[in-house]
Amino acid sequence: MNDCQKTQKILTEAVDERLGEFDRNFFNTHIQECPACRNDYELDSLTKAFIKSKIGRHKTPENVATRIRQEIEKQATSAQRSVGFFTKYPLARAAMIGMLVIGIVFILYVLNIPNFQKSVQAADMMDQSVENYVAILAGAIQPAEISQHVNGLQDFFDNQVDFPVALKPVADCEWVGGVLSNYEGLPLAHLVYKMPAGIIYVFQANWNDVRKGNKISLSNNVVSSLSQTGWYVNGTHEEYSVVMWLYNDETVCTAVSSMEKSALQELFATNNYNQW
Amino acid sequence: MFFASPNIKASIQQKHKEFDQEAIPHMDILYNYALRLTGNPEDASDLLQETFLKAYRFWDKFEKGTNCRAWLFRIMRNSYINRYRKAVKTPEHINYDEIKEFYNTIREQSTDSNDLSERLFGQLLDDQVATALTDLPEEFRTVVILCDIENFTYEEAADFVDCPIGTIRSRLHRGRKLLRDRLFKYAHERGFSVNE
Repeated sequence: MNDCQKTQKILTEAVDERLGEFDRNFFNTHIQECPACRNDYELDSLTKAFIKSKIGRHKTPENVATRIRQEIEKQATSAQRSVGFFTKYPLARAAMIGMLVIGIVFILYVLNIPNFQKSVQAADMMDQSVENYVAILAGAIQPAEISQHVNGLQDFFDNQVDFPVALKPVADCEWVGGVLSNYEGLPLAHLVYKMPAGIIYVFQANWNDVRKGNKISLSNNVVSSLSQTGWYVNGTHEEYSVVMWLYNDETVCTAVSSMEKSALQELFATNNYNQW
Repeated sequence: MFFASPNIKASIQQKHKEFDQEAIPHMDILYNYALRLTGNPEDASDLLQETFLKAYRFWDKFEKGTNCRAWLFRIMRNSYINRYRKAVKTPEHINYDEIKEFYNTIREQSTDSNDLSERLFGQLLDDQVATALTDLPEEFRTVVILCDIENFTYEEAADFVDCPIGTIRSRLHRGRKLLRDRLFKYAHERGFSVNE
C-alpha cells in the first residue's frame, strides 16, 4: 500500500478528527507533499462544514407536540378507565375481591383442582392455543382481516407485534384470517386457515417472552425441545393435534387442528415462508 | 388477572411518569431526524407521532437504564423503512472528476475556506441543501444526519444503527461524497461560480 492509499483509507477519520497521534502525523505530512490527497481532504472538510451550516435544527411544532401528548394521554386514560370503578369505590373493590377469593378457594377445594397454583401464574401457551381454537370453532373469536392468500395479511400485521409473523402459504387453503390481541401487554398474532375439511389455527408470540415465562409460558420440557430442535410435537390432546415450532428463532408458533398431527407438522415444516 | 387490578392504575401512572421523563424530552431530536428522513413537515409529524405511540405501547419492552434515545431512534427508523420500503432509491452513479478538477483550479486562486466553499456551492438555499440530503439513500442519509448534523461519535452512531464502526465510517465517506457532488451540481445548474 503506498502513502496515497494509506491516506485515503484514513481520510474520513482525519476529517472527523479521530486519528491517533501517529496516524495524524503521517497524514499531515503526506497532505503537505501530495496536492491530490490534500484536495480530497479539504473537499470533504468543506462539505462537512457546509452541510452543518445549512441544515438548521428545528423545534417540534407546538401543535404536533400537543397532539402527541394528547394521544398518549388518551391511551393511558382508556387503560385506566377499565379499573376506574374499583378505584373509585374501594369498599366495593374489597368486597368484590373478598367474595371472589372465597368463591374461588371454595370451588378449588370442592373440585380439588390440582393446578391451582399454576392457574394464577403465567398462562400456558399450549392450553391457551386449544382454548382459542375451540373459541374460533364456536365463532366466539373471528378474524379481523381476511385474505385469499397469506401475503394479503402482511399489511395487517405490519408493525403491530414485536416479532416476525410467520406467514406460511398452505396449499388448498380457501382463505386465511388474521387476529391481533394483547395479553397483559404482550402483543400476539393469530392466523386462521380455512381448509376444505376444517380450520387450522396458528397462535404466534415472541419466543423470548415465552421462553422466559413472561406472562405466557410453556413447561420446561417443551422449552428445551424447542430450543434444541426447533419443534415440539409430543403434546397430547384427546381431540386435536397440536404442534409447535420456532420461526426465525424469534417467534414461537402453535398450530391446532383436527387433522392428523404428522400432516399438520408437514404443512409448516418446509422453509418456504414469505419473507417480509 | 383480577387480583392485580387495584395496582393497575398505579402502574399505568408509573408508566406515564417514566415515559414523560425519559422519552418525551427526545422529541425535538427525533422531529429533526423525521424531517430529514421524510423531507417535509407533514410526514415528519406523522412519523413522529407513530414513533411515540409505538414507544408508549411497547414501553414495557424498553430496558430501563439503556439508551432511550437510541431505542426511540430505532423505532422511528424501522417505522420509516417499513412505510417507505417500496420506494427505496438505488444510489446513482457519481462522477467525481468534475468537482475535483474544478476544485483544483479554484484552490490555486484562494486558500480561504469560506471563499472556497462559496465558489464550490454558490448561494445554495438551506432548502436545497435539505432536499439534497433527503434524496440520499437512507443508509447514507442517516449516518450523515447523526454524525454531521447531530455531532454523534462513530461509536454512538454505530449503536443507533446497530452496525460496526467501520460501516459508519464508510457510509459517512460515501454519503458526504454523494451529497457533495449533488450540491455542486445544483450550484452548477443555478449558474453559480463554475465558469467564472
